[in-house]
Amino acid sequence: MTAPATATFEEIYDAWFDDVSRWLLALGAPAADAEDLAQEVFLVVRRRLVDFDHRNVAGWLFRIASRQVAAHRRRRWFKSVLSRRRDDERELTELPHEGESPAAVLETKERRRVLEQLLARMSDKRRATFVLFEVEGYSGEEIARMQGIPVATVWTRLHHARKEFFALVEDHRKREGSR
Amino acid sequence: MSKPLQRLERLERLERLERLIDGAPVAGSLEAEGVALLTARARHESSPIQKARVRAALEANGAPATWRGRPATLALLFAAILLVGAAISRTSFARQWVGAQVRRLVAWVAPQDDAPVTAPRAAPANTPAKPVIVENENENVQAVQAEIPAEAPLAATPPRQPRVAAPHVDARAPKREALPVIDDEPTLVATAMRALRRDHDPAGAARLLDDYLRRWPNGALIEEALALAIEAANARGDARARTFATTYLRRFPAGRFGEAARRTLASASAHTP
Repeated sequence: MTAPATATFEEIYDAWFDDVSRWLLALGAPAADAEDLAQEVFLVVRRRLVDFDHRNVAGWLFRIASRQVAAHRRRRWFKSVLSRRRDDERELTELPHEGESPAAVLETKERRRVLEQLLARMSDKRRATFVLFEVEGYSGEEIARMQGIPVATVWTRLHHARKEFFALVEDHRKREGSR
Repeated sequence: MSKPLQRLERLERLERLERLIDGAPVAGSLEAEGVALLTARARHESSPIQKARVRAALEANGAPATWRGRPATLALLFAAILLVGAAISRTSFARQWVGAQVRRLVAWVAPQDDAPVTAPRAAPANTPAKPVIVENENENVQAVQAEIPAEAPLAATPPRQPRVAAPHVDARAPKREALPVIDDEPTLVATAMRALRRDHDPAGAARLLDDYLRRWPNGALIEEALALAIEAANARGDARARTFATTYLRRFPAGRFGEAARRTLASASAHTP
């Protein structure tokens, strides 16, 4: 068995920055903080690169990203406790696309807000798998590799995530209908 | 069908799974609503500017743009600040209290500075002051102790010695006040400097500087203390200015205040008949 090729920090950064950014959002990081979190992920990467065996770069990066998002969530909770800040602050990155009418932009923003609310109610593992597959377009094999789990587990998680998602959509629809 | 086969079939079915947004749900169905929500969130594409910005931040300082301490770190920091604050306030309070007690005692022992002070009965009158032995004393220390004529010892300078009537050097000198107890070199020299230059109290400054020279003859600020002592003695018309200047030049031949010391010596020589 040949030893895996080692990559420098620069190579990893260039090859994986986009993916890490996607994973951060899939893991539930707010878009407004994604850049800072990506920076923190690559700080860890730079620090730990010497100890990394270079066997599964995606899995290693995904684990770091997961930990950073979890830590970010804890910090956010702590800050919200201290400052009593509402956690549903709107993101400033949602700029309207050119050519779209204001009504369409508003509708898209509203849908996205609802989607984020529903995703936030899902468990971390199911949400990550669901978003990575349904939104970010990763294949089951890719998700399995980055999460370090068998492909079958990915499909199982996705199956349950879909059921949960539609249950949440139904719940949302009922609440909207009752208003 | 056996369980493994069922499982295999289920997996094969799942592996052919399409993304929800690639399907064609019936309009108005729950599935259609879910797909509509999912399409609102497009696949994330980070911009090259964003990528470059993060890279620049990584290269610049290696730290996140905004400091976000971990809760545990924050709590520890908060506790440390509280502890340090408490320690400082306690020390400050203790010092103030001790200082007040010492001043009260001094005032009781010597209520009037101008009046001749008699030594306590038990102590032998006019006992010559013993040289203070300081740790790591070397010949410079001995020289400083020997060369600088002692004024009346400071009221609050440990070890306490019986006060003896000091020769009245300057009639214009303001009434002597109880001096604060200062236990560290920089504060003592800084207090002397303030007394000399801001409060225009050369007598008070001289007392503080005498205290310094006695307690830290080889201190880190000995050069500054000697220079200030020269200045204070000159301001009072005290003949010890010459002694201080000589000591200074001997210890610091190329010192920063050498010029002032030489001027003092020259001036003293000119006035000597």
